[in-house]
Amino acid sequence: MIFVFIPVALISYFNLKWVYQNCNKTQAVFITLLFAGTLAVCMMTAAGVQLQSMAAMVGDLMKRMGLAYPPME
Amino acid sequence: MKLESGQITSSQYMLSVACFIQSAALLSSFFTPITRQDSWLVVIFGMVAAIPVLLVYSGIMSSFPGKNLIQICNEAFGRVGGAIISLMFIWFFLTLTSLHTRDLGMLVRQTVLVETPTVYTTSLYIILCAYALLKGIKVVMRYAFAFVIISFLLTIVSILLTLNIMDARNFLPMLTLPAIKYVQGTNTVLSIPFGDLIAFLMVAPNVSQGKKRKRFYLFSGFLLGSATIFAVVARDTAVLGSVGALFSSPSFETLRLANLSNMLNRMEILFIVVLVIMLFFKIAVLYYVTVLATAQLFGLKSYHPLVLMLGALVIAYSVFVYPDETVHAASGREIVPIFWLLFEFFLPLLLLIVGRARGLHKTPPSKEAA
Repeated sequence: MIFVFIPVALISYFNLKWVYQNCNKTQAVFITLLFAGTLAVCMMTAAGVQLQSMAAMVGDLMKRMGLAYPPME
Repeated sequence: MKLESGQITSSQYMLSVACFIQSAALLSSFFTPITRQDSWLVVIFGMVAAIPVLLVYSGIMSSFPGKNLIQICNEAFGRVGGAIISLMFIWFFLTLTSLHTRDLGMLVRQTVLVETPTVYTTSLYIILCAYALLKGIKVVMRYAFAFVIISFLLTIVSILLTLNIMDARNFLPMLTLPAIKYVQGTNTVLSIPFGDLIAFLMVAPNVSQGKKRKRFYLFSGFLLGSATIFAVVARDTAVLGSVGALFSSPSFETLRLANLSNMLNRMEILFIVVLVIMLFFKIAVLYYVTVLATAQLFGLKSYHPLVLMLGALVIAYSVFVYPDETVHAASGREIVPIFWLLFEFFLPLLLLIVGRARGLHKTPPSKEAA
């Protein structure tokens, strides 16, 4: 996990530094949240947490609603 | 606000479209199990069905010259509505990038580097794509010509080398499957390789030629790319017949069978090399589009600070986008063809209708946007 944390944290540090110097406060808040979310997702994936993607969730929902082709025989 | 200053020529645009479609040769496994020996027919049906979709894309390009998809969304749907639709498109592009990255990792693991964890391959690949992106769109698009030529050459050589094992009877029986299978196959062809061209609406403002020529080059690129897909699917059917439906990559198996007097064999490695090159192009374009769309939505002055961070997200997302390959394949056949139509046809159509109804197409592009 440490091998994921170090590069992603370094990327965040240098890129956020640029964002704080060149963008307004609202943009900086959104980008910080985006980076924090990405860091969290990377850490959870590296830790082996079974995340469910939105694509899989929407797929399940569509299947339940009958918005899918029939499965292969 | 213009985030990308690099310009590409119309011919580069055309070849990029062709290259983008050619890289989908791997994805024939989504529809060959459905339509088996008639897969070459659904490619033709898909090409015909893609014409209205491409007309919508070219309509958007000519109605809103000098603006990319996110800018058009903001204009047509307003600040809040535009942001919601833009977020949906960003999620779509991010998912496409991750799915293709995952496909590449699995392909390499199944065929060449069987003991190397997928995440190492995908990480190296994304680092390479990120390097290309940091250099700008021009650098990525410049290689399309070489990639298209390589792909054409491999397709021609592979057809010649497999001529001796082709059997015309493998195409029979024709049109005997239930109608729903043809609808599903056509929808899959339309959504998965062809509909992905929506990504080029983000690149269109960087094409240096006029709008009419842009439409011509979009269609020309589409024809070049889809002709290659057709040739690949027809070759696989002629060699493998309905058995091709059993393989995860029919083209790989076809080239494995290619043998010229015991002198030239094991040609499948060429297929893998070319596919890895083509997927580099497709992933780089989708990755670029994701980064550019995100930077555009947040109103950043440059997309560069997002490149590496979104690359990390793509790698992580490619790991958990589907729990395993069976679910991925089933989703690609049963759900994705329907779901992707929302992003590839219905939303762009709505965008075009709303934009035209509000008279936005009559507004001349601002100097800043152009």
